[in-house]
Amino acid sequence: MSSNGSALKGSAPPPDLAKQVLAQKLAQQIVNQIVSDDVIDDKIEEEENQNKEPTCCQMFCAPFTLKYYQPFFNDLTTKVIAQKLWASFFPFKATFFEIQDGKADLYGPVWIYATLVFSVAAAGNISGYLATPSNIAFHYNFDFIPTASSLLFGIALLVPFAIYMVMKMLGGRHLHLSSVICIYAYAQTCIIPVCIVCSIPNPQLQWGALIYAMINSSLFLIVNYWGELEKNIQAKKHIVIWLIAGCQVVLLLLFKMYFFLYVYTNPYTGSRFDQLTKIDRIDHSFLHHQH
Amino acid sequence: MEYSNQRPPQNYSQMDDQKTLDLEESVSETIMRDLRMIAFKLKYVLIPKEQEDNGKELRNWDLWGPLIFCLVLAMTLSFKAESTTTSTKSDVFAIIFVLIWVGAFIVTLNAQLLGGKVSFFQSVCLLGYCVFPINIEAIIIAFFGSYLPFVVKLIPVLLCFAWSAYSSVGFMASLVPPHKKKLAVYPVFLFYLFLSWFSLIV
Repeated sequence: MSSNGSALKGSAPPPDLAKQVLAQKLAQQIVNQIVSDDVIDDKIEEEENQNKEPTCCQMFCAPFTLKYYQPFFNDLTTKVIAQKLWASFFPFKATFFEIQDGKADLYGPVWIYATLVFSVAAAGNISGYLATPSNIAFHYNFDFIPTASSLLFGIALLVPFAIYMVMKMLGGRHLHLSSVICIYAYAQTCIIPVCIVCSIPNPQLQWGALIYAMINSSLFLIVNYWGELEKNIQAKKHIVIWLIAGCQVVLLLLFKMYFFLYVYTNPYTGSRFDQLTKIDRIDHSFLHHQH
Repeated sequence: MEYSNQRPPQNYSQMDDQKTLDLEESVSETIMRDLRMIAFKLKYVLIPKEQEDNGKELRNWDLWGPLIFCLVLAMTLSFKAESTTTSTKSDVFAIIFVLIWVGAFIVTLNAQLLGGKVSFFQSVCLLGYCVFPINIEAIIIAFFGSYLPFVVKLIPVLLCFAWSAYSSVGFMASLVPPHKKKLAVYPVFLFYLFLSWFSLIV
């Protein structure tokens, strides 16, 4: 660099240039620091603003905004959901809360219950169709769909809430309502293949499959909550266990008695879906007598 | 209908004097214009070859098409439903109507929550237009269903279900990041499966 013979005094240019470059770099770093400090300050301020008490309106309207539910769908991948579904079929391993560090998701609950509504309504009607003798007309029962929706989406919210409240009252810690709703929904996954099996109208097969579903779902819940139960609720854990098992028994009895009930045959027409017609006929004959 | 340059028919007139002309045009012209727009969108949505611009046409969403297809499907299925009690026909109509609109709403919400950046109504519009093949199969089965054995009835049902699902899955899958594609696509499958099941069993 200093090979050109211009009157450069010895080694003056490189140090000056180097100093300049160094000064520039230093200045740039200082500016970066200031800017990032500002940014950090802004972030801290934002967080503080968020931690301030929300207004009354914000508190009540929050569940109606989409943003409220965004955290439950944020880090989902197909693989995580598949892992959770797979884990629900093996109730003896308590691995559910280790998948993605126990982060609750709402994708599972919504779509598992939606699939269940479809499966139960379809399977119930298929089993009824296969059970009616061939000389009787089969009438598809459309009431299964609204009934199944109300039942399943109702228990989706109420039973986890009951479990959450009971566990909290008995001293459980590290519990969130959203994670209870999540695990309860994945516990019901085993009912979907059981419904497909139950579309065959054999009563022993149906009872066997439903009992399997009941045992699988209750065990899944109990085994996954076992750590929590042992640590924090030692003495009274049987209350929670009976609550969980009881809810599952009631649910599956409801399924058997409403969707897969084929033992009743209407003596007038021979079909099991003609209960309303039977009542109509009685009313008409009664009225007929009166006139 | 042939469109030489594949541009949609004009919905809105820009100039004032044309606006007054719109008010003065006959009702049949207005209706035909809307029908032509629906037909254009239908071809666009259901025949993938027509999509040269990757779904940008869907930005002009409209809900008339979905409403017409929903009503036709609900009416076809409720006419065909047996009236064991007087409530069955209206049950079917109500179920189909609620299913289509609430289902489209929930599927769209799901895609948005999974990170898809799409306007809400664009997606509802697409899902509604893709109900058209289910309409076709419902009409086929309504007219010829009693003469055909069950296995033969399955063929148009499966074909139309595959057609609906294929048309809407392409759009839906492009909205979300690749590791969530199946999560966004499964609800669409469930939606059209539910509707196809209805047209099969009624």
